[in-house]
Amino acid sequence: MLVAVIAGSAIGYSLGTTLVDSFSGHRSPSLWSGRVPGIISVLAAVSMTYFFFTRERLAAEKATAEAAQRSAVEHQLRLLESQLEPHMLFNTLANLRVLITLDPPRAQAMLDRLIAYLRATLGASRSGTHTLRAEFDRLADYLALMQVRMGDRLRVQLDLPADLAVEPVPALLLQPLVENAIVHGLEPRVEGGQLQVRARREPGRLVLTVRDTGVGIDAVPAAASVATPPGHAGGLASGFGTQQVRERLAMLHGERASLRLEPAPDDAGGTLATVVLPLEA
Amino acid sequence: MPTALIAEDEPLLAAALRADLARLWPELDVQAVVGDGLSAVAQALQRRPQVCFFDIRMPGCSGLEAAQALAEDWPDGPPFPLLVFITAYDQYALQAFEAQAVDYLVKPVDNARLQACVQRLARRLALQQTAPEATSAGLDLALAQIRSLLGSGLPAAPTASRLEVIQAGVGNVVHMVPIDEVLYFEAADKYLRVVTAEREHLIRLSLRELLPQLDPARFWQVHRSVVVRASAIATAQRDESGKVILHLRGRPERLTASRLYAHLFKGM
Repeated sequence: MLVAVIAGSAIGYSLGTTLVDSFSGHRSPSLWSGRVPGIISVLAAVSMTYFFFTRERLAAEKATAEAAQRSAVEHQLRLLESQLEPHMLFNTLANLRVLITLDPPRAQAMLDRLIAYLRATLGASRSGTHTLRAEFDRLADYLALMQVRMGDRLRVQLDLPADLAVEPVPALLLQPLVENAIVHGLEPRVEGGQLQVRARREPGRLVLTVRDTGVGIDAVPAAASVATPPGHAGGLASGFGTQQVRERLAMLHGERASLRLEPAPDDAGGTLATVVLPLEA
Repeated sequence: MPTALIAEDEPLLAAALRADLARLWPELDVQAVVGDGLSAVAQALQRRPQVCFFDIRMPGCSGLEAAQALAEDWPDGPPFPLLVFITAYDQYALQAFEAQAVDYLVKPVDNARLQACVQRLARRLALQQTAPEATSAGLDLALAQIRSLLGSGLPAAPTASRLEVIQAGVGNVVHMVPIDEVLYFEAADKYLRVVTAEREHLIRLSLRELLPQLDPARFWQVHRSVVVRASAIATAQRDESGKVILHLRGRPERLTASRLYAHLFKGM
């Protein structure tokens, strides 16, 4: 840029003096012989360049900031959408509407679960941490709602050893994995199946597993390029869910935490999701 | 006595719909309540109800896919059932339903809405009784509606993502099959048969996943489980039931285009 400024002032000065000289008849000193006009010219060039340069840079910075803000807002929207899936909400309400006349106490219990679920999902709690006990309680709310909807097609087993109950975990970390297990594993299967959520201690780490006996990870379209129809229970949303979990783990613990998704290693089939977190001694 | 079939995977909602219908339409005989799309098709074909209530999201196959299968396999003669789709939330499908005359219900279903639906169904059934010629018109209308609903769910695929080569793995060898050598694709359980003039391959992909990646001008869906390269079809012959028999260039077997797609084959 410096070269351009110097070259620009030299060319500008020479062109200007030549042009003016040609009709004034006066002979101006060349850039190199008379110092003062030359310096004025260079100064003018430098300040104009500086002015335009700063303006450009400010505009570019503003554009970057706006883009970042836009993507943050989009991210928030998608997060909210993934947390409050309208299909789940309206189906739950439809069941609730039936239970109100059929079985009022059960309706009330279901409403309590829904309220707890909504409070947890809509609250900002997803950014903080809570105990593993609280994590399992929130999963139990969601699963109870799903059990009303799916009847005996959904069989649930939550397994939290008492000595791990007070361990802190990122709030609602397992929620997207449990939702995936249901929406992509068990719901598409005519017979339904089983869902197990377990916590166990290993030397120096906490291992959380979500396992379903659903259609299996294989049945999820292998070709990632295949577009999912809008509004369809699709790979996009599930990809977003697991990506969320991965990002949170990486942000909190870096390499020391991980999420693995794999076909369940026994005859019952389905999918196994394993989250590993470092356990403070 | 009017007859109906209910397909809804959530047991409470199925029972509630049945109870509400019993109250609002006492003459209606609900022949069966099923919880998945495949049973819905099987039961409907067996019992031939006059009205089908199909939930959109069901295990096995969706309500729309069930309607498609029903339209393709429905026997000649008995009137095609009146279809009512039920959905909890599906803004795209709803727009399609609005545009079409097919009735639909949104969960939770309120009484007034269900009552209006019942009245409309009863009127349509009465019309079928008094004007038998309305029956075949009814099938044509249903076919047009299902066709349009099936199309509305598909995303417009960007031409850039079109498949040019099918990669079919056998053991540790991958066969590269240029898309223009494919005569047709046929869905077979969890696989897709990819048939060329010389041989066939199996790939793990569903027709639903494949379709957006094909050029619709070159590859035509002719049945819920068959997609043919149009230029591979030698002749198309219409039979009396409205189906079309396709003879291929380079293969002895014949394919059947279902009623839903028979309209593709007309002389110019």
